[in-house]
Amino acid sequence: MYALRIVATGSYCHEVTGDPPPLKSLALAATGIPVRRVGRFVQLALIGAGRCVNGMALPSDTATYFTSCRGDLDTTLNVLAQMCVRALPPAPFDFINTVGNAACFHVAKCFGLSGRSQFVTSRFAPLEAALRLAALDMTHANVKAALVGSADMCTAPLAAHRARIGVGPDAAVGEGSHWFLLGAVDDSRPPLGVVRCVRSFPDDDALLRHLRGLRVDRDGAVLARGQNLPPDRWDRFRETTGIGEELAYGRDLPRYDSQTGYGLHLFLTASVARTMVHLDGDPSGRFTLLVIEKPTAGAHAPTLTLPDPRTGR
Amino acid sequence: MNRPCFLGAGIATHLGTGIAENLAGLHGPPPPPRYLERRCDGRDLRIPYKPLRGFSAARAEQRLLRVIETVVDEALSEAGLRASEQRRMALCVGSSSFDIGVSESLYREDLAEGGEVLPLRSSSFGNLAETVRSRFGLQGEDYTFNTACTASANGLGYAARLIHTGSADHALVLGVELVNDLTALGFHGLGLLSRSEMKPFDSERDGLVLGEACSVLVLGRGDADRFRWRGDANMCDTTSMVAARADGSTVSDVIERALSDARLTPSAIAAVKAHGTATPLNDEAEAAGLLRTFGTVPPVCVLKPFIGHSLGACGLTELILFYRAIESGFLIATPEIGADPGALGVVLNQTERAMTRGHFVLNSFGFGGNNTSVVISRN
Repeated sequence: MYALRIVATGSYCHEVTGDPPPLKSLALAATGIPVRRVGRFVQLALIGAGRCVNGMALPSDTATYFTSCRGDLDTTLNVLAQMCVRALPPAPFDFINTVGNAACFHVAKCFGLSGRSQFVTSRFAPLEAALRLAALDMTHANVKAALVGSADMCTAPLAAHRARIGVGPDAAVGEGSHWFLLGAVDDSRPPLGVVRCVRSFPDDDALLRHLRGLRVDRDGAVLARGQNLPPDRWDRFRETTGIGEELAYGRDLPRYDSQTGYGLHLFLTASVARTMVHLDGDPSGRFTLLVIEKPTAGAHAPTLTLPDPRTGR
Repeated sequence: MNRPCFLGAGIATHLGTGIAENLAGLHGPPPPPRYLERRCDGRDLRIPYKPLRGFSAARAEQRLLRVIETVVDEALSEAGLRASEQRRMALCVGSSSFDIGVSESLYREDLAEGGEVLPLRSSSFGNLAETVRSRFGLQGEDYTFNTACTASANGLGYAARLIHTGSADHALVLGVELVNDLTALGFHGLGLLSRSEMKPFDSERDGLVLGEACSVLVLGRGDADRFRWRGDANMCDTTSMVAARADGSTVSDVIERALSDARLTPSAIAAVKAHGTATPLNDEAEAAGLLRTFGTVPPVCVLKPFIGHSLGACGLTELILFYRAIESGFLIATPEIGADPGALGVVLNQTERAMTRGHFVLNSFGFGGNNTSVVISRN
């Protein structure tokens, strides 16, 4: 069990119905810094990170943990077409931006950070993987502050994008970037929340055993269902936790990977509940548990504007 | 609590398949590179590289799986875990390109057939880890690292930390990098490739030679005589996307933090495994960093002349070659490469010297300013 303070959060998500919209001006507005030679994926990451940092001066040794299920699809598709269709080499900056941690570099440069920098993911629990490593480093490796975020983008044409991410031809698709600042950054203001637990379980028996011993105030808690949780497990898990309220954040979201960040952001900024118990799973029968607690019941008012997933505003 | 130790390893490189073939290959001179021939931008390119030995050209997907299965089998066999331990162990995967070579092949086949084309069918970084988990029945937590040339070194560090903190009993770390056009043409476009041989820290160095590699390390707790992870550090150098700060200050910072994490001073270090990309700027920065940290630099060895630069796999692959060489009694030498201090002020180890234990620093540096140093020890 960890006690990691979430000091700030910033989020962006948007349904895409035609060509994905330009993000350059949003990235500039969020960070205040014009970033050159980057594509939409890095801009997407910078929007969420910039909204999270929101002008704060971060300690230079703040660590960055960034995750994405599919990374910079736009650039990777572009260089594949460049090589396989046009028989041309990738442009140097396109080639470099295919690496996941290119976005980490730009986030670190934008906010003057030189601490740990990790692009880490897991197929069905990307944000949980990033939070888990941040938790490890903050409890055991002398990391005092961490910027943790996820981003997954949408590409044109949408029919190909839907096929690539495995959703039906009529599914709403979109993109999102969700960031959280953890640790001892600004002690003068109360944390938005505290990460009490982030861990994985090899099977449902192990998760159920843990849930039976979970100490939360059931009346002030919400249960949140991750996007990959097999539907047939939900009722049993809900019964085991004894939590009646559900934070059904996925219902209104267009499809993109790494939606957990949206659920966490929603809980921190717009829910009156004190505790969120977030459950997710994968096809092999593993599960992840994320427990976030606000410092005092009912005393915490939303401090940041929640983006509307349909408009991104 | 004792630091996590290395229970089993497997490897495939240009030197061969398996620990024994690779150790044998380290006793001789580095083998010459082969050449990838590609037609690009109206020109015929010859790109030097060091392919795996013993894995014939097959369909990219089949080859990738066969390589990984062979290397994981070797490491698991040596580690000798029980089935229940294997099922629970954590998995950390580090790579730059993952299965992009498979995507390239499928895309080209689709284009040739002229039907419906969907490039990048396998688009998740985590797919390779899922394949390994499924094939070997792993149900522990998994992490996939994509931090360019530090990816598998970072995977190793977190695997060790999971065990050290009691979060996992065992962990399997996989580094893999197989040939693909994106990498080959990308490095060609950046002008970072050598025209012939890779000569890190040498006045005649002219760039890197790409190499294929797959390596696996199983970590856990074990007896005192084993090699173990002692500490590490990772930092972000925002000087440039492709090169460390030339004065060596950021390289020195990360080495010193790793030493601090390992609770060691520079004078305790018996030898250094340098990253050594043989590019003018990066060797300059690494040499300056070593001089800043150590003053009098301990023996320095490099692995890339033997196996090429295996990018995301190099951190783990070179660590395995390094520690197995020490376990078998010698520090790796690269005769006539980096033999004179020249402008860099660092000399590479020129003759195999007897060494069986000690504390060692291993460097990996990657695009995106990702700098990692690992400290390993055998008491």
